[in-house]
Amino acid sequence: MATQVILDPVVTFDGTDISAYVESVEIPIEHDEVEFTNAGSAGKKTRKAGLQDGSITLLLQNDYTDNLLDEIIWNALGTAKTIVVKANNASTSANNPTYSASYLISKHTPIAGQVGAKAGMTLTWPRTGATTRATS
Amino acid sequence: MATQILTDCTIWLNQYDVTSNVTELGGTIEKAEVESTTFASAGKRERKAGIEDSRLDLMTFWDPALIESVAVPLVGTSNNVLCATVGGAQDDVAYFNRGELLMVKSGLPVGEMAKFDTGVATSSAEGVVRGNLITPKATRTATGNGTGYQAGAVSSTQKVYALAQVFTVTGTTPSMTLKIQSDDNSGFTSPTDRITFTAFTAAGFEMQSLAGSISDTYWRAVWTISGTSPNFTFGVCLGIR
Repeated sequence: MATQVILDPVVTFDGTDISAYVESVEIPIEHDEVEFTNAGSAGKKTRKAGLQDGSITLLLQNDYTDNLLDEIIWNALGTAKTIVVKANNASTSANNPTYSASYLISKHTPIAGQVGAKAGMTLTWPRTGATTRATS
Repeated sequence: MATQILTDCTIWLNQYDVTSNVTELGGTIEKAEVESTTFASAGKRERKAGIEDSRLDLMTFWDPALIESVAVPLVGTSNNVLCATVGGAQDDVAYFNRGELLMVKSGLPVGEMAKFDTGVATSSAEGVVRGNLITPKATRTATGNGTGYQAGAVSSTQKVYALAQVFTVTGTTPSMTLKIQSDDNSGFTSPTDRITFTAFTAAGFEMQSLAGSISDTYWRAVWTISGTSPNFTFGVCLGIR
């Protein structure tokens, strides 16, 4: 067993490593619940998996420097980009898999925050297509 | 890399610098998620980007001498502009939009600072423009040229947008002609006038655009000031989208 504390996840956005800006990342993958309860279900709800869906939520520290994070996200708005996530900054392996998917960059909150707070944003983008889990 | 704490943002609503009232900024640019899942999607939902929606919002301390008296008369009006920069310095990143001021909300809790929320809901073909502060807010009394900024070329599918906000004007018969120029070199040895704003004789604002393609990559504002003891306080943002 290898439970762990997340210390150095790796997130690449369209091939660019944005890990240095990432405070947290979530990549839920779930299926629609399609109910199949019928008279033969013995009083218990039964379900089958419908369409699969996914998303990614990133808590990011923004960087307005030319060509860096803010401009990267701005330029990607409205397009689908591949984002790859890995729990540790070590070689990809069976103990350190990557999760890769195409996400629709549908939202940006470029200047949002209180005076004296860090420039940051929480962005959730929907997946379009499948997630690939790789161990090498 | 330059992650940062937001301490020096500037916020300009039409011809008013409301920075001193603002405690929090909210800005969202969002594309509608239009589902494109088909039987060929291998059981995975697919999406494409739809219509863009955006707004820039302000959370402020209620001030009847500034934000409250400025924003309340504007409720329900069109063609307002809101510009937020990350630091108010030359070349700082700026986001600006044009649209409707649809809402003001006063909050007057006993024992706490009085609060006031408002914002501009984008209602223009360009949406929110991400650009740069090419001419920081300052007082100028004579004809001059701004510092050039390499914003880049404008493709055939893009436009260059320039927003001029003039905060105060004093003097006798003061007048300022403000232009945006471009050139292919940082020395502006052969500048081309691209945008000419309507002459400013009083505080005001104007946003203009010009469609590409334009191969020049350097941009600046230039101004011609006339009158007796003229005094103009203004700033200019420029973006390409």
